[in-house]
Amino acid sequence: MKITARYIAILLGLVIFSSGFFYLLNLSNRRAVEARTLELAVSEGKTIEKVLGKAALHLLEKGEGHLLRFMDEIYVNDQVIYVAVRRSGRLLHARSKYEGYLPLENDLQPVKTFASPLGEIIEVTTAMNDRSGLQYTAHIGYFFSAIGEIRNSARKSFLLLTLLQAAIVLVLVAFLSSFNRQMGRKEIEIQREKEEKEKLQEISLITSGINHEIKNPLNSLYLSYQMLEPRLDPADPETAFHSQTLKREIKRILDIIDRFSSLSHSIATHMEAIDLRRFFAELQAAWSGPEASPRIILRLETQKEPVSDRGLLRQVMDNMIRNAMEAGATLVTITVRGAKKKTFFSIRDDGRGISKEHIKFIFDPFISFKSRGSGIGLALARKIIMQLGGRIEVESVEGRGAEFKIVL
Amino acid sequence: MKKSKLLSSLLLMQAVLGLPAQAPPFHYFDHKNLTVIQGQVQHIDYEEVYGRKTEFLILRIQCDDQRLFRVEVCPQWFLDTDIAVGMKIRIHGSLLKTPDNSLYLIAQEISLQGERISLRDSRGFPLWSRQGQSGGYGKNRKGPGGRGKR
Repeated sequence: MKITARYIAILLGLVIFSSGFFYLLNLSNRRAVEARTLELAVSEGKTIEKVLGKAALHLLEKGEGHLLRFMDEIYVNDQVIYVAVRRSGRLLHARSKYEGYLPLENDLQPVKTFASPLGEIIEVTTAMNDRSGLQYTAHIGYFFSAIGEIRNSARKSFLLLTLLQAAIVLVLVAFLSSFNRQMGRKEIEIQREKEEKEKLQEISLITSGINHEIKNPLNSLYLSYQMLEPRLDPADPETAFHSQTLKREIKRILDIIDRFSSLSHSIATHMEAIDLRRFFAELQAAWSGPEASPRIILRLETQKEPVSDRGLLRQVMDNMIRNAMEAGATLVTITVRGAKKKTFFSIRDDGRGISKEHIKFIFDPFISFKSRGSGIGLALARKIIMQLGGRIEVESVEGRGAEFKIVL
Repeated sequence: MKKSKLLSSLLLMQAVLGLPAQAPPFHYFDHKNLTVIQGQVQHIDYEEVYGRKTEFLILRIQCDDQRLFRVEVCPQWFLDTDIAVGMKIRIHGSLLKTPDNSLYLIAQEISLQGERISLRDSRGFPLWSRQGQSGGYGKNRKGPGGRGKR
């Protein structure tokens, strides 16, 4: 499946659009809860106003004092914040639970609400006349705690849902962008593999030509030399020198042709469980001989016995160590770690390292940055690792060594 | 003649001493009658103006136009700014009518030494009584807490 940047953009757009839609839905739900709560409080206030109106009028008929005592009795209630009685517009009597707080208005609106630091306050006002025609107004301000609680709860769930939504959007965006990156990497890898296959096909054609045109005459040359060799005088130093050079160089050309062939042909594998301790002990022993060999340190951090091809893996390791040696390394540190079904190899050396310009082409066949290199070693190593179902990467800073990482 | 002289002397004494009016028995912050005054602190006092064992800071302010105001500020624990006699002060507040027609102000916001301190909201709700911060009365009111500095 090919996911393009366009699909990702459409998906992201959908995520953003749906999150915006849910945000608005959530907000409108919160507003609706708040409005409905206030509506209920006002409706309750209207009922209180009717009851208060009847009771206050009845008490006023008995005398002003009765009304004031009744208001004081109401004031005792915890929810009540203030009570007040006005006569002909002037304050006659008032009580407030908050120092000097009596937010009376001049209008006679039966129920009104207003905000305070405590929350919504509801004021019920009732107007009446006594026998002499004097107008009295009674006011009760109370705190309807349920409004605050419901509003807070609506706000909390709104906040929670918004946070949840933001988290989901973030996770989705992170997932999509990581998926996009992975797909991009995979596409590049597929493209590279395709290019490599094409290159190998070309190489295959060339090598079959080389095999036919060069290897056969070279084999004849070598056989001729072998027939001539017993007739040469080994005591003559000049003859011995030229004879050895001829033999060595013919073998070197044959070896190069064989390696060329191995690049183009598929590699047969023989998979088996590898005892890493033994494997690396053999490697260390083999490289302890040559004079210019770097010292090899092994850090085995796994007890696993990975299933792979011992011979091919050894070929790759030899190649890495040879490269390190040629890069002037004195120390090669091989670290092996195991995780789930994978085995990680790190081959780090303290040689000259690889420059930024060269590192891109390091696994390309026939490209070598060494004076006597053929450009086959690392290309072959990569081919082997891929054949074994793994991958190989390199990290290096020029002048500070190189690290090859193999995952099997 | 003597009686009128005695009365005049008493009035003069009150003016010189600047004795402020006492708080009315029930007084409240009338958010429809707001005013701003500016002057100098003449006297600092603490009184239980609401009779709840909470001492309020009471200032006597002489305005630039020589009028004397008694200003009810806030419970003394709410204010962490030092106020001293002689300081210049600007006060927004609600002006009350007192039985003796003296000038009594309930402060909503005070400004002194470049600092503005809010004491009540626009309808006069005391900011020291916000839920969980207040001291005093009712089940929603707890111990002394925040300050009204801006």
